[in-house]
Amino acid sequence: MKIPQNVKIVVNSVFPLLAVLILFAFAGRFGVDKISEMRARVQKSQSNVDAFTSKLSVLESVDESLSRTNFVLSALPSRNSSIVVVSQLKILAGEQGIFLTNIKGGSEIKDPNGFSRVDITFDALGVRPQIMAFAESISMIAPLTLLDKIKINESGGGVRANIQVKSYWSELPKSLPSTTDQLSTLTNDEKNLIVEIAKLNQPLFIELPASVGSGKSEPFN
Amino acid sequence: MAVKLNLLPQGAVVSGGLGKTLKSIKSFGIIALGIFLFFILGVSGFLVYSSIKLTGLSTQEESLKARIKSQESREQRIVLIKDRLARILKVQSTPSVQKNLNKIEGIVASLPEGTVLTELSLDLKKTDLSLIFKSGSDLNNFLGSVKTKSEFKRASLTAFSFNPLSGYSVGLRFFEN
Repeated sequence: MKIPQNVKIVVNSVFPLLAVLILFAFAGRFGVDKISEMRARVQKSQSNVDAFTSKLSVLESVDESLSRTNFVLSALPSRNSSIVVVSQLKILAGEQGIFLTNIKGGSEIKDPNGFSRVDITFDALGVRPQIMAFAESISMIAPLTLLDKIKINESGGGVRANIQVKSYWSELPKSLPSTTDQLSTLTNDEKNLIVEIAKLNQPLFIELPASVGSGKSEPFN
Repeated sequence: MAVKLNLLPQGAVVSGGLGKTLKSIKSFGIIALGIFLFFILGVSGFLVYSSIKLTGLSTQEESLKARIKSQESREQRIVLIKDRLARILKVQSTPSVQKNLNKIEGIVASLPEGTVLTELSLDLKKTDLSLIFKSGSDLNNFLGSVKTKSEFKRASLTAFSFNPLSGYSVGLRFFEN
């Protein structure tokens, strides 16, 4: 079929504009999508870099407080603290010149605040000023121990105090935050709390070194 | 007089108005093509620039990640310290009788000589003190000092008796509010 010459002229004039408009519609959409995608990736990458940089600066700046991890751990241990608390109470009683007897530790009680506690009861025998001083210094021992009840009976110059204390422990955190999560540095309040905790009477720990015996060279002979 | 000559075949001729419009459309087409090429160039340039930037950022990200990884033990300690401190604060805010013991210590320390403290009982709900005074003046002085110096908000007399051999037996209960 032969196309008339004047139609060809019209098509020749209109086609380039039409073609460009169609190209614009497709390529423009594709281009804009690609730009948005790339911008989002750059933005995400930039925010990751910012987060990592700030985290790294926190990690590198906190120094002094980290050396006090042991104080914090001995104030609130990860396991039942009753044996350590009894040992601490006995040391304290020895310092005050009083005698502890009938020491009893209860079973683990789950506290609604997310930690565990044990109630320890005992009788303290001595004279009043020492008993009072002993009771007042219970809050100065690590692990953290709170005075729950105290009943003092006095007769003939001697004093018998029936005391109940609460001692706490809590499981350690099980996971680290993700790499992109912000890590805040220790606040002044937290630093002050660490200083306060470091003043508590620390428990005496005995570290047993691992045995390094020679053993058999041939274990199956 | 000008003579209008048309050497084109009759089918290849378009009328004057339409010809002008087609000419304009053709010009528009050329301009649009220019804009399109410029747009393509711009988009390509932006994508190249962004991908170079992204490569740089990725390298930086990896290097920072590696540095953070190398500080993992430090991070563990910070997380541990923060966790412990938050819990320690909760433990410290748990009620105990320590504060009331300190308050009652001030009262007990100022007891007149010869006064017998028969019982002192503190728990989270109440603070009770039982005393035996040798004389009425000792009792008066003590009650006066409790009224003026005591850090407790209120104190009530829960028991009172007199025995000529031992003296005045008094029971007091202290309230914080």
